[in-house]
Amino acid sequence: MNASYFNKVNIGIKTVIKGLALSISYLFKKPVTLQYPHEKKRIAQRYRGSIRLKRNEEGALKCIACGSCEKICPAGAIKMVTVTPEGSKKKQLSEFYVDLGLCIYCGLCVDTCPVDAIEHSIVYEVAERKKDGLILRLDNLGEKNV
Amino acid sequence: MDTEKHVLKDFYVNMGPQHPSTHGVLRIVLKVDGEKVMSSETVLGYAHRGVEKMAESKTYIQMMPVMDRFDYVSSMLFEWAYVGCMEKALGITPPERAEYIRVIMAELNRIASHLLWAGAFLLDLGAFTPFLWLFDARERIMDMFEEVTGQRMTNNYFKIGGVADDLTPEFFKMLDEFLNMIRKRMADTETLIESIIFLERVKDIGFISKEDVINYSLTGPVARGSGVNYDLRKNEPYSIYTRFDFEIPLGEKGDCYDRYKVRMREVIQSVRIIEQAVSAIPEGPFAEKAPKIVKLPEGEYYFAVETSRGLLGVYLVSDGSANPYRFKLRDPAFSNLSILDTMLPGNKISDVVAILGSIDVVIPEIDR
Repeated sequence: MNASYFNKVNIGIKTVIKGLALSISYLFKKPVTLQYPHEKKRIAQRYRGSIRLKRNEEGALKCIACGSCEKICPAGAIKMVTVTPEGSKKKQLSEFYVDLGLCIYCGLCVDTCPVDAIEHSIVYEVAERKKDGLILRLDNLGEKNV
Repeated sequence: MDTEKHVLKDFYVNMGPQHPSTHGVLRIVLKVDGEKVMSSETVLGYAHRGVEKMAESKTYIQMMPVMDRFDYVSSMLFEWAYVGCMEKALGITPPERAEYIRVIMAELNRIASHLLWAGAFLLDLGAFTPFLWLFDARERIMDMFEEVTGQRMTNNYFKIGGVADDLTPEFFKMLDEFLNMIRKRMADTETLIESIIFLERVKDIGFISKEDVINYSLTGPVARGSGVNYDLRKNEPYSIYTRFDFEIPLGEKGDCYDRYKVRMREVIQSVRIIEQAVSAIPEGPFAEKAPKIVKLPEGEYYFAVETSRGLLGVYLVSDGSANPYRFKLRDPAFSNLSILDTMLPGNKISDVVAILGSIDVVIPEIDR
């Protein structure tokens, strides 16, 4: 027990009191935490949530079934089934799958689409009870991504 | 009783792979004598994904989101290195505004990374309050990223020839708010924690000499904490870093405290760069036209940036096809971790946490 020991204790007490005073001043500030899920965060317009297909004014899908998004997807989350109706040269989309369990929300499919037919919604709560529920199809692409 | 028999010889402690202060799946095998570490061995590979091999079967564009997933706390700096390398190969120069946007985003990302490090480092040493204060500040950066890039982490924002989208007026409002609070928050944090309790734990442990910095090719705050003045932004300026007035904080002794101090001061320097960039940002296009299918001309390309952990180099070999022939990263955390085994012997077990924390490793970047 020498003098430097008590000196250190002295400095320790002083700095602790200084720190306490500072943290007490923070006690009277507005809280920054949100009580999720009762309070929700503001989501940015550009937020990259789950994927959906766009429709034009008549309600038809804009997609031309070129398959660019399927090709570029680094995770292999997009699968596209196309049909060519008789008497027509154009391919048509018959089924479209997005596996949200694989999707990495990188936005490459949206960037690469030549006709701007695919976009990100701002939906971020995509938890499901069954793995099958994570696969979006043509018929539930719209429903889930309101 | 024969005491000789009961002496424990070669007692090993496994720190990790599941340990709260290794920040990921890092395993350190410590040979201890009582409380003293005699020798240590770092075991890597728990998060190995073979990304460098994977790159050879992916196109150049498909690798972009993967770049975010090495060092997920400073992802845009990693994007910059990769995009910069491809721009060098293709001979594309991004427009003026894009360069400014890149600098702003990269420095914000550096701040976010240092804030996360400081919060977690102090939490490891038992200080909980600064963790919350610094994460509040970091949260504001994440909100800004969400506003501009669309994602809080793994942004995928840098594109060949520029950036994905322009900055919004809302972003500038948020940035203004952030710049107003960050200096006070850093000062508050330093007043709060620089008590004798903290200083006794970090001062005079984990020395790295200047010679070791060079021998182990350490970079970033770890090197600068030992007084080695090496920062790519000053030494080999890329992009428009020559236009900004900022300092490179240096330590003197090279102990844990110096490395902590260097990072805390770097945050303020990054704030200075952002302030200058925001006041000088020109109007104009945010991206140059880039090819949709990227094929690099045959050859070898290298581009390096200074990330929040040190020098990151991306090396690409192209054979002219749509996939890279070879993709190699020279990343800072791997080199910086290599010195750990020579630093630990002689220290107490409780100091291992402080020494490892002061190096600032991110495991997915080391195991790749």
